[in-house]
Order: sequence, then C-alpha cells, then structure tokens
Amino acid sequence: MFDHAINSLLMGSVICRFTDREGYEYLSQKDRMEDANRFLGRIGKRVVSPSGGGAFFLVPTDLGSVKKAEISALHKKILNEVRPVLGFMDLCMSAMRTDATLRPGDQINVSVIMAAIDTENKLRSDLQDLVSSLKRAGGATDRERLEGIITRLESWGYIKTENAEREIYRATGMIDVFHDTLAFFIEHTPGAREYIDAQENQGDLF
Amino acid sequence: MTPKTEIPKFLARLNRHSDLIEEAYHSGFVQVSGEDEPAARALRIARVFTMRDQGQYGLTRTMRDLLNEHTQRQQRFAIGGNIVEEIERMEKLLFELEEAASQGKHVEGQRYSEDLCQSLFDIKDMISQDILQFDQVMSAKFSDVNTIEEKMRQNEHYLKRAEQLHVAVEQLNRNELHESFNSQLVDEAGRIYRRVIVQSISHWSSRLLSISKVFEEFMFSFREITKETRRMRAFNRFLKEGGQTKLEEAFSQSAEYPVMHRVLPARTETWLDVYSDRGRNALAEIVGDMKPLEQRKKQERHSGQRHQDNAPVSIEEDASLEDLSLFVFLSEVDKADGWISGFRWAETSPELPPSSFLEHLLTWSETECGDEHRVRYIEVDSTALNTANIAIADIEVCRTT
Repeated sequence: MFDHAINSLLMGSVICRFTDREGYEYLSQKDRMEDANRFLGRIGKRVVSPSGGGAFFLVPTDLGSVKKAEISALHKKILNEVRPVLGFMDLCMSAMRTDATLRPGDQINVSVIMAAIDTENKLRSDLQDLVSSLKRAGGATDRERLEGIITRLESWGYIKTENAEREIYRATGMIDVFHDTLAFFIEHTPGAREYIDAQENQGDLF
Repeated sequence: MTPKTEIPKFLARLNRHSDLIEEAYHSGFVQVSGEDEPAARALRIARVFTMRDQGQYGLTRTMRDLLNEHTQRQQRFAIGGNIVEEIERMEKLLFELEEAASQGKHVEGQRYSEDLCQSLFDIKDMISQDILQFDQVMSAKFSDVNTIEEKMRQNEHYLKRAEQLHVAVEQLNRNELHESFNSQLVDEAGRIYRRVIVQSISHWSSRLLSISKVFEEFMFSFREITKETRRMRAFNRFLKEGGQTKLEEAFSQSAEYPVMHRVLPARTETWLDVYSDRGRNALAEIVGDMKPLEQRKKQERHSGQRHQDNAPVSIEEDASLEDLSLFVFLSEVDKADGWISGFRWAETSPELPPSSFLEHLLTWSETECGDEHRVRYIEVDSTALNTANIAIADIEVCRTT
C-alpha cells in the first residue's frame, strides 16, 4: 500500500475516501503518514491536507523552490477552474434546494438538477452562464450542456461517477481543496473582500 | 387515507360520541370506564380528548374553543392559545379564586376553581405539545425549507418559541406559585397543580435542556453554513462582475499557501524495456504488426507551371541556419549598392561558420540564383575568376541594377 499511496501522490492525485479508499485509510494512520513523509522528504515533498481535512495531496517542502513553469501551469489550471466549479456548486445548491455548500461525499443527482433546470428559467440562465465560463464547452440542449459540465468536472477530479445508469455522482476530496483555493482568492484578490462585505451590509445575498 | 375520506369519518366519530363530548364540555372532564374506554381513547387519538388522570378525560383546548364559540359561552380572561398568556390567565384565576374563597363566595369560587383546573391542564397540554413538536423538528434538522432567508425566519420562530418555553417552565416553578397552590383556599386546584405541573417540571426541564443542546449545535452549524454560502455566492457574483480578471493578482501572495503549490497530475511515461528478451520480443511483435511506411508522394511543379492565384500555397519550412542566413544575406545584398562578400558577412555571425555558409551560397549561386543577382567567385589569391575547379576563398554577390 505504501508504494501505491506514494506513486499516486507523486502523480499529483488528491487522495480521498471517495477516490482511493485504501490509500486514504493508509495515509490516515499517523505512523504510516510519518513514514510516507520521511520518504517524500528526501525528494523535497510532503503530504498535506486541505483545511476541511478528508484528503491528502503533495506539495514541495520548500514552497519557494518550485520552478516557475510548474507554478504557472498550476495557476493557469486554477484560474480556468475557479469560475466553472464555483458556478456549478451554486447551480447544485439552487437545483437541489439546499443552502449547504457542496462537500466531499455529497451526492449529485443529475436528473434532479436537470428537472429543476427544466422548470426554472433562472437556473437555465445560470447553466448558460456556466457553460460560457468554460473553454471549448457547449451543447445544443440544456442536457448536453449540463453533461458537458459534469464531464469536465469529473475530468478535473472534483466529482466521480457513483451510478452511471442513474446519473448519480459524488463530490470528492478535491472539493475541499477548492474551498481552500476559494478562501485564498477571497482573501487576496483585490476588491473581493470589500465586495463581499458590501453585499453583506446591503443584505443583498439571497 | 385522503383528507376527503378523513373528514366525514371524524365528524361521524364526533356524532357517535357526542354524549361523552357534551359531558366533558359541561363538567370540565369525563370519568370513563368499561365500555366507554375505547371511545375515549379514539377521541384522544382524534385530538378531541386529552387524558388528565387514570380514566379521566377533558376536552382539548381547540375543541373547547370550538364549542365555546358555538355556545357563545363567555370565558373569563379568554386568551388566544399562547403559553405565556395562558400562565398569566391561570395566575389571574388563582388570584380571583383566593379572593372569592377568602370572602366566602362559594358559587363564584367553584367556577373559578373549575376554570383554574382547566387552565392548568391546558398549560400542561401546551407545553407537552410544544416539546413534542420540538422533538420532531430537531429530528428533521429544520430541513424543510428552501432558502437561507426562509431558514432564518424559521430559526427566529423556533428560537422565540424555545425561549417562551423556558420562561413558561420557570414561571410555573416559582416559589410564590408553589406557596399559593399549597394554600387551603385552593384545595382542588392545588392538587391539580402538584399532579399536573409540579410532577412534569423535571421532565420538561430535562427535555428542554437536550433540545437546547441540539438547537445550539444546529444553530452553530447553520451560522457556519450561512456564512460560507453567503461568501461563496457573493464571490461568484464578484467574478461575474469582472473580478475574474483580478484573480491573477492574488497569486503574488500565494507563497505561503500549500494549496497553491500542490503537485499537478502528471502524464505517466512508461519506457519500453529493450534490455530484456521479453521486452525485445514484445517490441518485435508490435513492429511486425505495423503497416509498412509508404513513401510520401511529392507533387512537383512542372517547369513553366505557375501557381494560380486562388490555389492553396504550401510553404515548406526549412529551418536550417544556412538557409535563414542566406535569406538575410540576400536581403542585405538587395539593400547594398555594390558587392557584398559572403565570407566577411558570415564572419560577423558567431554561430555561422563562414566555410559552411560559402558552401551553401555556392549551391544557391549554381542552382537558384536568377537574373536579379550577380555572383563572382574569389580564388584563394583574391583574384576573381570565372573558371571551374578552383579553390574558392570567397563569393561576392550584388544586385543587378
């Protein structure tokens, strides 16, 4: 299991109980995690978890030592993903009639979302907005658009197929990584925090 | 069972047991035994009766209010069904009863006593019902709402009700109330108070405590969810309103954030093991199955054939240094007034060996040089010659005027 976990981490996987149960359980044990970190430390890497817990991923021991090209590639990927993932989470909450943000392990029922989109114009417009935030995405019908988004999110690792026949997906530990990313952007994007505070003061959040 | 079938059934039940209902209404309660017991239980399930004691049933408040409305019976200090107000009414009745008893007004005292007992039963009923409802709401985690706004309203409502319950239980457990109900003047009502209220207080308090804990826990998680959801939605709106372009600026602060440095998914590269027989055999097998490469057919332009204006123009890229250099060299020749030495020109470029460039220039002069340029070859002793089989030291080119 050690080699499986290490190789998986080195390949850039975010290990969580929903994508790699065995790897997750292995790394959840303190002594095994220490063992993994000892090994990875020799190649300048360490295992960390997002603040919500529930997942493991690899980062360089010295964050300043990462090559500029690698950082740029990661930042570009993050920039491409922020708005579509955020928009999808919002769409899920509205369609599934819940106020709780998407968390790892949450079930996503595409047919429920689709049914809600069919009946609410606002959700349809949100879906189109979401599609426009994705590169090379489209679709002639709402269903195709939604399926395109779902496929993209699955390829990015945020969700995984639970039951293909019933169109049920499950959120993975990547969602917690995304929450951390979001917290970072809210904190450091010029104007973001002021905008959010102003919205709260206006009570204009619903 | 649909509501349509339920209503006639309920009315039929009322009609069937109207004698019991009537007695409970006029006497305040009905003592049932034997054959009336199943009927009383059925009325209790239908929320017409409320059980007071062993075999003793009274009307529920709703039923009594309905009958009061019908008979136009005047209620002393009539109230609308709020616990706090019912407690106030109960205390007023207690005061009136004490007054009537101390003044020897037996008839009035009897009426006040009956109303007071009824009020105590009502209070017990209301508190028990509220606690029961809270239990149900807690088990459902307040989830039957669609939006944060509704949830906030719902929260406010339950908080208010939970507070009311606390206040009600505290009021009922006051020392002065205990003392008043222990008085000889309110003998019957005092007995009811001790049996119905005092005995239930410890149970109510423990239920309220556990409800408070669940409530507190839920409220905390709700606040967290609300805050996070609000921030998330507001940030989404920020991005839609042009914030997306500013995200990149945040990266300057990413140095301390591990999430901004995570190792990205890598493409796996597996190398073929050509050092083992097994690997070599596998490779041979793969190659054996491959289709042989076909010679690419190059369509050559016949001499004199010209490109048509609309025909697609194919540009073959030749990225060799000599070709690029030749292109630059000829551009300079075109700009210059006289001859330009290829050798000296090549010497100015550190990456270009002059001998290699001269070879390339020679080939060009012999195959591609047209009428636009004139070429002269310089022999080793620096004399220009036009003969073959000579050692060339330099090639000079100039534009034909």
